[in-house]
Amino acid sequence: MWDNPPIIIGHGSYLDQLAAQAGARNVFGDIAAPSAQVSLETIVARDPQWIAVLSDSAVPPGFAKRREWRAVRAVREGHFLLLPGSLFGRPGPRSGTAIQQLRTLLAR
Amino acid sequence: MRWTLLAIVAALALVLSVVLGPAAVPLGELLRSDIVWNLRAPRALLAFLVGGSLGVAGAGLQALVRNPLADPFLLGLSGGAGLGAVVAIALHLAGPWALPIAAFVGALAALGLVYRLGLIGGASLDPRILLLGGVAIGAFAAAITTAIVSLADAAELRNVFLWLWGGLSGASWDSVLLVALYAPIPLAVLLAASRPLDLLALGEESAGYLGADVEAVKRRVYLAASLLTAAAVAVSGVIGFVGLVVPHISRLVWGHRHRSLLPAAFIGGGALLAFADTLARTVVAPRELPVGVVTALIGVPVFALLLRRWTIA
Repeated sequence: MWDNPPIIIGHGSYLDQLAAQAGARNVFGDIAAPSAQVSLETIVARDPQWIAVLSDSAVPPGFAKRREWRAVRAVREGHFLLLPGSLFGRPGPRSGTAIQQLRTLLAR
Repeated sequence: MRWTLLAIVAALALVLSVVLGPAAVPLGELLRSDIVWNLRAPRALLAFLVGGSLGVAGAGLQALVRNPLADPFLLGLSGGAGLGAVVAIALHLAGPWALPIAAFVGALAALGLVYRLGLIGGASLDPRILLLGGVAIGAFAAAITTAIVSLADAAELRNVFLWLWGGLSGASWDSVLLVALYAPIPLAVLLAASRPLDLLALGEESAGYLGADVEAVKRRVYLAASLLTAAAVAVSGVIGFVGLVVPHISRLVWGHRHRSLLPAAFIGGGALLAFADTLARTVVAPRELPVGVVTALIGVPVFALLLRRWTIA
């Protein structure tokens, strides 16, 4: 996900498939586009348990501190999945590793 | 009568933007909902303040350059702001306010360059050179922006184009407070220049004979309108057509006297943008359109109608 404007991944995108393989469900799985701009309140209403962000850093993204984002429960609780771009950004032979890593992160 | 009508339209636009949204909030829970208080209310207010600012900035600039085509973004500010935003993303500047601040700085840089170009003929600010300079600086900034986007490898850069088409998704009480504290100053400067702006319609020389300090007024109006636009673009991206169409519609109803034209453009611009943002959030829900797309889709047909009316009259 990207924050300004909020862009989420939809049905059939690579990350959506990875999430499904790892046993997770994309709350925006009904959107038939690989990625889409949505309103923040839609994210609040769909109330995801985790928010996946492609990020190479270990700290939650900057928008986590913004007041309007605190309306999202997963943001308040700090439930971010920070996925390194080199592993999760594109499909490839290491997709298996990515799925495994995602499983581990989700199992915490 | 027309003020009452305008007030009703504005109130309606604000109420609609708080009541309607992609997430279902039952009417009974409207006043207790976190979504309404922390997301929809600040967004509606920010839309109103930004739209109003763009309307007034447009009206002021149209009077200044005596050109009905003038728009707050025609003078290069959108190009500068876009460049600032792209640089912030390409350099991975961190912090929640990095993007708005970078866009504001970019807009100020463009403003400074255009202003300097406007003074090229001497101490007198030439509106024609302001227009040409604005277009040139805007094109130059856009070229650098595109060069950065095509050479840098930050994946987020693709999304900056969405941001550039305008969006109020970054709205929060913080940004509302910021604009509410900042905007009244340039707004007051523009309103105080109402009378000289009326006189400027007769031409600079005649306005001077009638007692207007033409040079001071030109500078004040240009700087105030541009600073207003720079703040608007920093919090909401480039929202086109509000600053172009609203002054024209207001002029049709309120006439050319700026003392009533400017307040009407503020309320009208605010109502239009609040309404457009409601459409942007709801028409393709759960997805969202950049609000600049909606204002252009509403603004262009209205503008075409106006053009027709002018050519017939």
